[in-house]
Amino acid sequence: MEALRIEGLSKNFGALDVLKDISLRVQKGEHVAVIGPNGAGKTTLLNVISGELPADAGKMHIFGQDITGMARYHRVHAGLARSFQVTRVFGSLTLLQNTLLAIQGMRPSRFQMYRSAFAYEKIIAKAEKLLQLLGLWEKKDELARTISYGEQRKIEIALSLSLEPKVLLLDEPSAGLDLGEVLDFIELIKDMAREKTLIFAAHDMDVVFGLADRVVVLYYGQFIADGTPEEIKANPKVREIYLGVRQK
Amino acid sequence: MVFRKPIWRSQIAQWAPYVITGIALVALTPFISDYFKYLITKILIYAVFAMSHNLLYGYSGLFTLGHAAFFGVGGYTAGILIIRYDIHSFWLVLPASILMVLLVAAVFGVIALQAKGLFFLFITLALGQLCENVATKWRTMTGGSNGLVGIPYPDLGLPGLTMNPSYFYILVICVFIVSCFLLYRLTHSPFGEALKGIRDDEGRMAHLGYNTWLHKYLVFIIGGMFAGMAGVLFGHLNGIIIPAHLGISTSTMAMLMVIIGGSANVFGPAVGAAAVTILELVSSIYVPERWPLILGSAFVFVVLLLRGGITPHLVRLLSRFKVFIWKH
Amino acid sequence: MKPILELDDIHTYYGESHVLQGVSLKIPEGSVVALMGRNGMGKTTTIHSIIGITPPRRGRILYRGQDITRLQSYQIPRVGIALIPQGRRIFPFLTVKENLTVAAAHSKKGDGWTLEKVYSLFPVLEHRSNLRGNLLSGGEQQMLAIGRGLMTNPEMLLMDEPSEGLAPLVVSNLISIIDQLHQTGLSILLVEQNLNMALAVADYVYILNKGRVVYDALPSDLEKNEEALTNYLGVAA
Repeated sequence: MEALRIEGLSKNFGALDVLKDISLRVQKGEHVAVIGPNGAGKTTLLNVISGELPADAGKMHIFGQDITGMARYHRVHAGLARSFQVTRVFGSLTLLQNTLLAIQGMRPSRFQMYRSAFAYEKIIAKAEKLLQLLGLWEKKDELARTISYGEQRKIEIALSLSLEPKVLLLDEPSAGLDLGEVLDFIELIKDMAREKTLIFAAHDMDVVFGLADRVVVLYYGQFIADGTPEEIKANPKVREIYLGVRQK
Repeated sequence: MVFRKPIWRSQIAQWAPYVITGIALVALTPFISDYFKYLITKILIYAVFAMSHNLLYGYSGLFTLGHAAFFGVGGYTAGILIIRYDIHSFWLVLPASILMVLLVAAVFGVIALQAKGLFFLFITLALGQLCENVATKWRTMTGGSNGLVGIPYPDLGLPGLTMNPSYFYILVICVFIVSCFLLYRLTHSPFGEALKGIRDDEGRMAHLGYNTWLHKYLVFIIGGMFAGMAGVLFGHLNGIIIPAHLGISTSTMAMLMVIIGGSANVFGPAVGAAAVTILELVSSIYVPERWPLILGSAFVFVVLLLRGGITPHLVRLLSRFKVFIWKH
Repeated sequence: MKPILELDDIHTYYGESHVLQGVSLKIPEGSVVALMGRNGMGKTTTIHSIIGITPPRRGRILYRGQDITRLQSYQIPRVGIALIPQGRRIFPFLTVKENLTVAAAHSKKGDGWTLEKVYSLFPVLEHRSNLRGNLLSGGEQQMLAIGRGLMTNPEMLLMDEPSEGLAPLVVSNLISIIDQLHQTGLSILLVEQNLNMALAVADYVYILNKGRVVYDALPSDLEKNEEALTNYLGVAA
C-alpha cells in the first residue's frame, strides 16, 4: 500500500491554474523532494495535501485512507503532519509548552480540564527526549518568541515530528537558516525522519541532495520529471527551467 | 527526574493559597460593617464574572462583547424561579440557572463560532443585545424594563440559619475561592494549554491534530457557566436584575475589568474587578455623574502607562518591597 | 575614493540586548559590498540601523560625509538610499504597476529610473503589470522589490538577503541583474547568506560575528580562506 497516493489533483485560483491534474505515488519510507521554479505550485501542493486549501478535483489517500475533503486536524489523526516555510511556533508559550502541545495533539488527554499539563510524566519524558535531541532542553522554560530563528525552526520541525506521523510534509525546511545551520539541520532530519515517509519542498540543493532518494520536478502545475537526484541533476529540461547552467 | 517533588509538599503548595485567602476573608466578618461586606461581596462576584470573561479573551483569544448575556441569564433564571415559580432552595435554583446558561451558551456558541475575529465580536454583541431586548419586552416573565425586583437572599435550607449579609458574604467567598481553584486548574490543564495554543495560532493547532472549533465551543460554554453563576449571586446581592445586566454595558465592564486588572494570568481580572468597583465607589461619593468619564480615563491610563494591566506592575512592586524588607 | 556610506563604531541595542558591538565599515562609491555572517550575528540589525528602524545608541553613520545617524526612516530615501527588504515585502494588494509608481512619488527629477527603464531591466514585470503583487512568484516579487527601490532614484541600494527562497535559476538571473546595476554606478550594500552569489558580485566582503566585524577582505581572498569560511560562515570544507 502506498504511503501517499494523489490522483488527478487540480487546484486553481480563479483563472490561474496552479495545479493541473497531477498524480503522484509515494511508497512507505521514501524521501521525496519536490523542486521547481517559484510559482510552480510547490507550496500549493503541500497546502492541498495538508488540507490548508481544498482541492478542486482529484483524490488523495494516505495508506489507503481517503483524506480528500477531511478537515486539517482529521488528517493529522490519519497520520499526516506538516511544517511551514515561515516558522509558526507558539510565541507566548515556552519551548516545553510548545512541545507538550504537539505531543498531546493526538491523545485524548488533550481534553483533560483538571489535571495539570505537567503531571503527565510519560508525555514530559517524550518532550524531554525530543528537546535534548535538538539541544534545546536547557532553554525549555524560555518563551518561543525569544529564541533565535534557527532555534525556532528546530521547534517548528519538532512540532510536526512530535505527532509521530506516518507521512511528513516539510515546506522549505531550511528556509531562513544560515549555511552552518543548514548542514546541522540536514543531519537532524536524516536522523529523525529515518523510517518515515518524507515529502519536502526545497530550493536549497544541499538539502535536496542530502535528504532525498527521489526528486520530482513541478513546473507550472505539472510534474515534468521524476527520478533519483543524480538523474534529475543531469536532466537537460530541469537544468533549463530550474537549475541553471552553472552547477556546484 | 526534574518534576518529582514530595507529594505532600506539592499538595499543600497547591491548596494553601486558596485556603489562606479564604480564611483571611472570612475572618474579617465580625470586624467589618455590613456595607463593607456588601462591597467585598460585590467585588468577588464581579471577579468571578471578569475571570470567566478572561477565560475566553485572554486565554483563548476570543474577543467577545456578549459575555454579559450569560451573567444576566443566570441572574434572571434564578430570579424567575424564586419570584415567579416560588422555588427557593439555593440547591435547586443555582444548578437550574447554570443549566439554563449552558443551554443558551450552547446555542449562542454554534452561531457565534461560525465567525472569527471582528465578525465573532459583532455576533456576540448582537446576541447580547438580543437578550437585553427579550428581557425588556417579555414583561410578564422578566418584569420588563423595570427588571425583576425583590430577589431575596439564597435559601440554603440549613436549619437555624437565616441568610444575612454576613452569611451571604461567607457563601460568596466560598464560591469565589472554588471558582479561582477550578479556573486555575483549567488554565493549567492540557485543555487550557490547548486554548493558549489556539490563541497564538489556531491554524497551527489544527495541524497538530486539535479540533479547534470544539475547544473554542467548550470554553465558550464553560466561561458562560461561570458568568451565569456570578449572575445568580449578583441577583441575590442586589435583590434586582435589570435588562442592562444582559447587554453591552455589562459586557464592556467585564472587558474593562480584565484589561485594567491584567489578562495574562487567572487572577488579574479579580484585581481589575476590585479596582473598578472601588473606583466606582469613590466616584459615586464625589462625582457620581462623571462615572463613565472616570472609568474611561482609568482605562486609557492603564492602556497607555500600565501595559499588561495593574497586576504585573503590582507583582513587581510587591517583590521589590519584599526585597526592601529583606534588606532591612 | 571617498566612501559613499560609512559606519563608524556603531553600537545598536534591542532593549537591553547589545546586538551590534562596534561595527565599522566603508562602502566606496560605486562598489558592491557584501555583508555576511551567520544568523543572529547582526546583519539585518546593521541594515535597520542605517535606515533608522533601530538607530544606534553610539557611533555614527555618514552618508557622503553627512551624519545621518539620527534621521527618521522616512528621511533616509530622500538622502538617496533605497531599501530592498528581506522577504521582498511588496504591496500584496497593489498591481505591479501600482507598486512601482507608488514609490516614484519621491523620486528626484532628471535622467533617472522611470517605469519604462525598470520594465526594460525586468521584462517579466511588464508582462505582469496588471497582476496583483501577491499573485507573483517569489522571483518576480524580488524583481518588483528591486524595481520599486529603483523608482526612488537612489544613489545607493541596501539589499537584504535577496536570494532567499529563490530557485537556483532565478538566483543566477539575480546575479546578472546586480552586475547590471553595478554598471550603472549604483553603490550596493548586499547582505547575503548565499556564498556563491556574494563571491560573484561583490567587490569587497565584510563578515559579522556576534555583532562585530571579524573579517574583511576581497572575495578572492575569502574564497581561499578555509578558516574564515568554516568559523564565520559555518561552511563545511
